[in-house]
Amino acid sequence: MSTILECSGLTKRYGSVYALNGADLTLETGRIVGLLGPNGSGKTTLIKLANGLLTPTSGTLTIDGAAPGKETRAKVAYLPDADYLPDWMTLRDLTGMFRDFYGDFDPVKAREMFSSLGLDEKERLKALSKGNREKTQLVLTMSRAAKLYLLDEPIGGVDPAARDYILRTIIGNYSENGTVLLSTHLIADVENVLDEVVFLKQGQVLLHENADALREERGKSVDAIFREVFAC
Amino acid sequence: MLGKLLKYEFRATARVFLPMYALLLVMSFVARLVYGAQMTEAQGTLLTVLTVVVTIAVIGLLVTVAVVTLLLICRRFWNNLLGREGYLMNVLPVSSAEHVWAKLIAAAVWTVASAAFSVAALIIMLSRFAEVGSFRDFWEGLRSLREMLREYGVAGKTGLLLTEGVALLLLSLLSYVLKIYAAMSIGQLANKHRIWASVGAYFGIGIAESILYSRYLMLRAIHYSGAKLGSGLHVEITGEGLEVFDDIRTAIPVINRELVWMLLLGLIFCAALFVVTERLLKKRLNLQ
Repeated sequence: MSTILECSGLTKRYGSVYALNGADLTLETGRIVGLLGPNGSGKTTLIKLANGLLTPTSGTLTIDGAAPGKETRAKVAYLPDADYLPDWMTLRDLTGMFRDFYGDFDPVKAREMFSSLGLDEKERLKALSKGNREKTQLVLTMSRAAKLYLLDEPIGGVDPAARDYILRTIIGNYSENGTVLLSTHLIADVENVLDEVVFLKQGQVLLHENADALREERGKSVDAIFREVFAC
Repeated sequence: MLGKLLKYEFRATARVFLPMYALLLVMSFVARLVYGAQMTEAQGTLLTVLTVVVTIAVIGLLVTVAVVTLLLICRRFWNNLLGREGYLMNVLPVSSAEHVWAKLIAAAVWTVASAAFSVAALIIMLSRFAEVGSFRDFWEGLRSLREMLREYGVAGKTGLLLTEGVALLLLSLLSYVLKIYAAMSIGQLANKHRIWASVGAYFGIGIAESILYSRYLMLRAIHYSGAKLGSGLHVEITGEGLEVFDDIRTAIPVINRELVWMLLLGLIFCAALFVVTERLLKKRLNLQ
């Protein structure tokens, strides 16, 4: 096992507001990690920093030993929590684009997933419902054999049946030595697939533990612990 | 990777430009037909109305082409790299320099294409009025101009000067696009009002540019003032501005030298804008 993602003292400030405030986190390869925290705790900021889409105010973040850049991007598969794909493109166009740019993209896998989710490859993105656009984004991300998957709210907008399929996809598709970091509010839904959990609170890492050990130690589900820790 | 970026850049933009160019050409043909009818047929109210309508339509389309070209240069950079689509583009395993090149090349190609299609549309539409043989007259004129230049003994240099002129034109096109890109890259640094910050940055760059060029021209003017250049060229700063007395033979090397300096200066300016844009995208990206 080796370290795939490491941040130390990671801070991102917007004016006087701290989105992240000295976060320290180390993730090993081959794990599925839940990044959990209430709204505004810094989950999306952390994931965007790991993709180099934001510049840290202070602190460092490395992926496989390197700062986010051209080289790390070939190893990271990112699913943003936004409608980010050009909506005039068809699913087939997008598949072609991912194949063009990512050496680890498997178009056959993508096609299979599109068909089992009932998505038509000839359809333009703008003709799809919000949920189906999210599924499309997830299929494209998970059809890569990346070292690190950064999934920001991957199941937030889809129906419960598709949720199960997506979680199965995530578990089934991530490569042996790949790591998945997924952020979500829907803890009960993902609880069973998580190896580790990270609680973020006000921009800091409150807790990072093995999911089973945590449940055993506290005698409750991660969901129940979350509700307790972040009770309003 | 640049080739792949260009492929997707052109695909995304061609779907706007090509139909627009097609419409422009079709309308200019229609205008030509209408004008032809008006010249040959008996005058009618309907025909007059039609003439006005097609003329306005073509002029409107020419304006549209110009506006859309500028707008798309801005939008492609802003939306595709700094907006929502930035979540896709900026995580591709591609360097920032490649992104800027792809956008710059596409912008330059479309600007030239828009200008070319606009001129073509005007020629199609207005050549109906041209008298038979006017094209031949045009070539005749060019030939006699060349004769004249040969007489002065500078014909060999005109090709060089022309090339330098075209290069200068191309460079000013690149700097016009790069100024927009640099301004947007600076504007995105702001936490709020990023578009206004970009507009401000654009004017800031423009002011810096005009100060730079006016200083430069002043220096050159001082350099030449009162100096005897060869046998014929003599430049003087008078109350009216620069006064140039010349014999074209001795002027050519001087013009040539000045054009080369202008090219060099333009190149440095473009390079500086490129580096600013590339560095900011690479080191200071802040997607909202």
